[in-house]
This record gives sequence, structure tokens and C-alpha cells, in this order.
Amino acid sequence: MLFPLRHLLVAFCAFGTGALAAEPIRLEPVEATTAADARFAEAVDGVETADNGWMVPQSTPQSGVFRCVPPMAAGRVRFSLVFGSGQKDSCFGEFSISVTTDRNPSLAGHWQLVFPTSFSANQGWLDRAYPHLHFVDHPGKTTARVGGILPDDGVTGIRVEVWPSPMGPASNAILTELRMERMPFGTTNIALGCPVTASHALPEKQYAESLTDGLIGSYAHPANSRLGRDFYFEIDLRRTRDLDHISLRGRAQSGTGGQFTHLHLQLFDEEPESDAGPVWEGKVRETAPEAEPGTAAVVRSADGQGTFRGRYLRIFSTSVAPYSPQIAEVEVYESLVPSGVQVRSNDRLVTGLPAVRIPAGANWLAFTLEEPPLRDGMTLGKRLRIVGGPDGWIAPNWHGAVETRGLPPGEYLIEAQLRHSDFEWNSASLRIPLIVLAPWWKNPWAQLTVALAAVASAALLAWHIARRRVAWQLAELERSQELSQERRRIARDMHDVVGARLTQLTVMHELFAAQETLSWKTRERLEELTTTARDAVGALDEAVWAINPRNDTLQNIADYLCHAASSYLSPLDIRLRQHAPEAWPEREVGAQKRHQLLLAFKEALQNIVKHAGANLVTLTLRFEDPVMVICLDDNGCGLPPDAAGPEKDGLENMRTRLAAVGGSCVAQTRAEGGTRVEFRLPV
Amino acid sequence: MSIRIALVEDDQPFARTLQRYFALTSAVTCDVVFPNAEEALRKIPKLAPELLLVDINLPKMNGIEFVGQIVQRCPGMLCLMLTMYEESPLIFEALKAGACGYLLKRTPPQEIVTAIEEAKAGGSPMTPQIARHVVNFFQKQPVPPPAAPVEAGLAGREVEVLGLLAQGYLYKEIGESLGISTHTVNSHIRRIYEKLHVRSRSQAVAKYRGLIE
Repeated sequence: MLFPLRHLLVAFCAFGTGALAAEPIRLEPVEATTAADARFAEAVDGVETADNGWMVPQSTPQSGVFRCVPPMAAGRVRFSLVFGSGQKDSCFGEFSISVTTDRNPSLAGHWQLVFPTSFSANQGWLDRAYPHLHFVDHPGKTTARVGGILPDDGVTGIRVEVWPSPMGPASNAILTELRMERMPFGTTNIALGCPVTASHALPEKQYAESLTDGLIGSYAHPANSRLGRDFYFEIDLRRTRDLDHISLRGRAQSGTGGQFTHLHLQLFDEEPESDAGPVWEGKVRETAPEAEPGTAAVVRSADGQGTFRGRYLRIFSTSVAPYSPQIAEVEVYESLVPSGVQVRSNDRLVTGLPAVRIPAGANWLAFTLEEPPLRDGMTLGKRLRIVGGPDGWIAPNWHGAVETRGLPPGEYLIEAQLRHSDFEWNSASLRIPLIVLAPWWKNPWAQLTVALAAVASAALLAWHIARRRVAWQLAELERSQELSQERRRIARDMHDVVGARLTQLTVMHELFAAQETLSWKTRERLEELTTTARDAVGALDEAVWAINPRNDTLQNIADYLCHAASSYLSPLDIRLRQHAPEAWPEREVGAQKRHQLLLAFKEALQNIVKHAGANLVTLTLRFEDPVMVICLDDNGCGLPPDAAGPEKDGLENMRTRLAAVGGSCVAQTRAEGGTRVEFRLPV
Repeated sequence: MSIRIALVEDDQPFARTLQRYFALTSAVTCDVVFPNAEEALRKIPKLAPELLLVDINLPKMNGIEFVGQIVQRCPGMLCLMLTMYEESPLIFEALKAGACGYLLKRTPPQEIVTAIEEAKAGGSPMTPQIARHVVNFFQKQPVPPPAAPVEAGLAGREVEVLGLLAQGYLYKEIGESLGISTHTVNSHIRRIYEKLHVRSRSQAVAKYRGLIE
């Protein structure tokens, strides 16, 4: 008792979780074989009073055709036949229900019998008399409920047939009301309700349709125990389909495992009786499984050879157990894949085909899977994984999105699958390339651009700095030029103004001296005054010469030294010989150097005049790059053996002056007599 | 017979003092003082003095430029430059322009008079420094410009005189050394000045024509 309950539960689950609300179908009377006064239309007029109903004679077969408005999609249906007249034998003795997809249902149309998957009556006992149903007893009032499966869409009408029954009443039956309700499919099992045939006879009260009735409590097996592989069941899937898997369920009873082994499955596109062979063929349950009886054997494409598709499924067994195969249910599932996927990166929708491109830096990805339209708005389980990513399969969250962390830049594959109503995942999956873009700065071109920009800006900066430096140097130069101009101006002013006045003084002296009235003493004083003035001009001249920037060339220094020597010595009758180059290289000699050199040079001249007693002085100038050499030779008495006093001080002075500007001064007695003073001034 | 000179000098107190000094002497007569070169250029041709004392530093046109123009207008005009201080390059420019000598302003006035007299007598003062500048100048342009007269180059004797002069020999010593009179030395030097002037003028023309840089 335990097993059937469990397996009923499994069967229920196999219907999935779709909405199962019953939907009444409006029926309209079309035509009936009964007489005109049989009130045929009252069977579907919605009135269930005792005196209302379709009166059906049961002595001969009768039929009534009703139109479904609007046409009905495939699904489970439930018919309710209300017999409410209360009269004896007023319910149908034996009846059947058929459906049609003819555009205009009629008695002469093409009808297909509905296999009753369930039937019951609230009064009396309803039983199967395949392919019909019949009441075993005949209650006065009762409602019969018959369940069935419509495998096809577009059912336009139903036909109720009433048959004369040898055991049943021959009087008129009265069908108070006929109701029809549609129960939505909750499964992706496409075999449900499909026609099944068996190659050989089945035992009494077993029907091939049990294999597709959605109930695993019903089963079928051959009547003959030794048919072996000659016996087969064949299911017509109504059209050729690509399959994902086939689930076979054995009889839910212990000890029947042997009849559910060595099953052979064949799939055909065409009628198997034609010459065409199976497109797929496989074997399952080659060994008797240890598993509990009643569990499903799931067959996938890989369990056989060929393309896993077809319209006709033929099943036989090579088991040695008698009455094989014994099968309760065959479920067939189509191959389904998600029809699409929506990708959101950081809550922004990312589109793009054939590949999804995720912008750089996305730290959160969400995927919403779309499924193909399914019957009755059924939704399926979904899962997704990112091939190449760190995670495995991920299920959607409560609002249907698969969420994952951001991925490192690279190429991935989105793989998404749908789950059938029997909780088997489809083998096939939706695959979409996923590219996570690298940040722009990881792009080689961007890096090149950045590098170039860096170089450019560095160059710009360097240029700017260089310009600033040049500007600074220029400013410095201007400052120094300003300074030198200022010096020149002061020099000129001193010279031109002060010098001119002093010069004027010396001339004025002559004017005074020309006056004959002046005493001798006055003349002498006047002469003194003039000499002082003239000396002042000379001193001024030297000072100004040194600070005037115009004189900072070697040429000017040489000229001036020669001039100084000759103007100093010639009044004293000391001859001066000069040896100097006619041209000098262009070198700048600063005011300080010029001044110190000039003062030392004058000191040397003074020494010659005061101490040497010479009458010939030779001045030699030359340039020994980068040193200017000034040589003063005299033909005097030479240096005393141990120079002391003022002369020594004079030599010391000259050395100090030259040393102050990086030069040197050497005084020595010449071999041929006289003294040589040599100045060396680096320029 | 006193020498009629004119003074081009912008320092009026100095010019007047000098003028008064000349008035004391009979050797030099200085009737006019021009405070600038422009006025002097206008009036001197008509006035025709025998010698000009020219200050180098003048407002607007300087003394060097003035000399260059006045010797063009009055060929043979003797110009002595008056300069405040020894500035060889400036002085040399003035000599190239056509001056025949120079004096420092602080030179005692009687020496100025002597210099004027010597110049008038055909004397040509030249210091060793200037001599070296002259040598250098002629060495720098060893090939005379095509437009220059043949005599623009220095003669052998002139070179000798210049060489001794540059070494500080006095005119008398040079004459003794070369066996010529001091007068001849002077005329050699006068000649050198003329050639310097000619050379520098033709050089200026050639430069104007773009013949030499």
C-alpha cells in the first residue's frame, strides 16, 4: 500500500507546478440522431431541473454532437454528465465520448474516441467497458465524471454516443445536463494522451492507452507470456519532434522488476511498417536494477544510436521474464532550451548579438532567462552557468534572475538550461558568448595613446620649463645688461661731468697763469692745484675705465695697459718698448679683474720708477689660452737680495691683488740685469 | 700767422674755457664753437677753418660720423679728435673715418696747441696701440677690394714704420733706425692714415654693394 501512494505522488509531481484551475467550456448543440422532440438542446442549456433534459432512446445507438466555443487547446478535460430526472433507468447504460477537430462538427465527421483516464459517479457504479463506459447499476439520480486527455489543439466539438447495452435498460435515458471543463496541462510530457497501440492482444481490462494516461497505477503487458521481442507497444506522438529524454515507468509493484528490463526503444519518423528504419534505437535496463520497482528509467540520446527524434516510439523487451514488457507509463519530453537571455550589468541592460559584451568594471551581473511559450502559461525551472567563470550552475533567485559577481576581463560562455516538469534538466542548452571587456586603459591602443600623451605632456612640460628657463635667463641677461648699462651711464656721467670739470680746471689754470700780475708763489700753488686736478682726472679715468663694461675685452685691456705705461713713463724719459699681438681673441674680462690688474700694473710701474733706476722698460703682452700674460722687464738694478720695506710691500700687494682674481704675480731679477715682473691672469 | 680752427664740442663750459685759452695764444684762433655735429656740418664748408677739434661724444650724430661726412664735403680738412679718455676702438674708428690724430681732453692746453701746430705742419701722431690696430686692420683685409685704388695697400717702408711704431719707438728713433728724417716718418704716417681712410671707405662701399661681408 505504501508504494502506490508514493508513486501517485510522483505522478502528480510529474504534472508540474502549472496552474491547474479548471476552465468551463461552453457547448452548443449541433445535431443529434434523436427525434426532434427529444429536447436535444436542453442537454447544454444550463438548467438542471428534473423535467429538463435530452431524452435518449437506448434501444438503438444514438449520437449527439456539440460544438466547443471557442475551439479548445490540448489538455486534460473533465466531462460531467448529470442525470437528474429521478426516473428509474434514466442514466446511460453504455456510452462513450469522442472529439473532433473538424471545422464544422457533424455526425458524419471524423471523430476520435477519448480514452477515459478517470471516471466516477456520485451514485451507483461506473465501470469501463472498453472503449466505452457503462453503469453497472442504474441509480435514479447521479452525476458521472469522466476524465480524459486531448493531445491535440483545436478541438471544435464533442460527440456523445449512447449504446444499447445487453444488460442495461432499454427505456429512454434523460441527460439533464452535459458539462465540460478543461484542466490545463501541468507537464511538458508530450506523450500524455497520445494514442498507443499494442502489437498483440492485451489481457482483459488492460489498455495500451494506459501508457500515456498520466497515471502510473494503470499498466499494460502482453496477454501472451511468450511473445518475447515480437510484442511491442507503439506510441504516436502526432508529429515528429526533437527529443530530450524518454521516461519509462514500470509497474509500481514489488516482484515485477523482471518484466521491466532489457527494454528496446526505437524512434521512427515514418510509420514503422514502412521500409524506413528507425532514426534512433537504444536499449535500457540491460540488467535488472537494484532500485525499487516503479522508478523511472530515463532514456537519453546517448543511450542509443542515431538522431534522438521521431514521431513513432516503439518499445519492446528482450527480457526472458514472461509477460514482458510490463509498462505503466511512457513520458516523452521534447528538447527545450531558453529562448533568450537578458543580461544586466550593474543594473543596466546589456544588449548585443551574437555575443554579450559586458562593459569594463561591472561588479554585478544579472541574467534573466526567457523560455519558449509553453501550454497553459506553464513556467519551467531554469539554471545558468558561466563557462570559464568561477561558479557552477546557478539557480534564479526569487524574482527569477541569476545573479553573479563581476568577472575578470575575458571571454566566457553563457550556458542556460530548462528543467522539464519531471525535474529532468534538458541536455541541450542555450549558449551565448559572453565577453567581459577590459578597462579602456588595458587596451593596447589606449596604452599607446596614454604613453604618447605622457610623452607629449612631458615634452610640453620640458618645453615649458625650458622656455621658462630661457625667459629667466633672458630676464637675468636683461638685468645684467641693465646693470652694465647703468654702470656705463655712471661711468660716462662721472667722466663727462666730473672729468670735464676737472679738465676745465687744468685749462683755467693756464688762463690764470697767463696773468702777469701773479706772484711766483701763487703761480707755484696754482701749478700744484692743476697737477692735483690732472691727477684726479687720471685716477677717475682709471676707475671709470675699470667699471665701464665697454672695456671688458682683452684688446681694450692691452691697449689700456700700453697707454697707462707710456703715459706714466714717457714724462719721466723712460723709454717703453711694447710687444703685443695686433689682435686678441674675444674674451670677456670682468670689472673686478680689470681693476685689480690695473692697480697691480701701476704698482709695478711705480716700483720701476722708484727703485729700479731703469731707462728702458719692455712691456710684453701675450695670450696663453686661457691666461693673459703681462711681462714688465726693466734694465734697472734688479731686486735687492732680501727685499724689505716698501718694495716688499709693493710686491706683496701685487700678489694679493692678482690672487684675489685667481691670477699670480712673480717678480725676479733677470739674468741679463734688471727686474722682470710677470702677471698671469686667467680670463 | 695763427691757425684758424673751429671747435665741435657740446660741453660748453669746457669749450669756452678752451676758447679763452686759445685767445691768449697767438698760434691758434678759435672763433666758433659748434655745440653739435649737425650745425657744424651746415656751416663749416662756408667757414672753411684750417683745422677742426672734434669731440667724439656728441649729441645725436657722434664725432666719428661727423668726421666721415666733413672730410667728404671738405677734402683735406684736418680733424683732431678730442676724447675724454683713452678708448682705442673708438679712436681707431675716428681715424678710419678720416681724422688725422687725437688728443685727450686732459692734455695740458699748450700741448693741444702744439698738436694743432704739428698737424698743420703735416705731422701725424700715432700711438703704438693705434699702430697695432692699423696693422691688424690691413692684415684682416690682405686683398684690397676690387674698387679700391692700387695704392690702398701699405708700402714696405710704411709697414716697417708701423712695426717700429707699434713697439713704442719714437718718431726720432724710427727715423734713426730706418735712416730717414723724422719728417719722412711723419709723411709715411700721414700716408698710412690716408690709406686707412681710403681702405675703410672702399670697404664701406664694397660692403654696401655686398662684395664683402
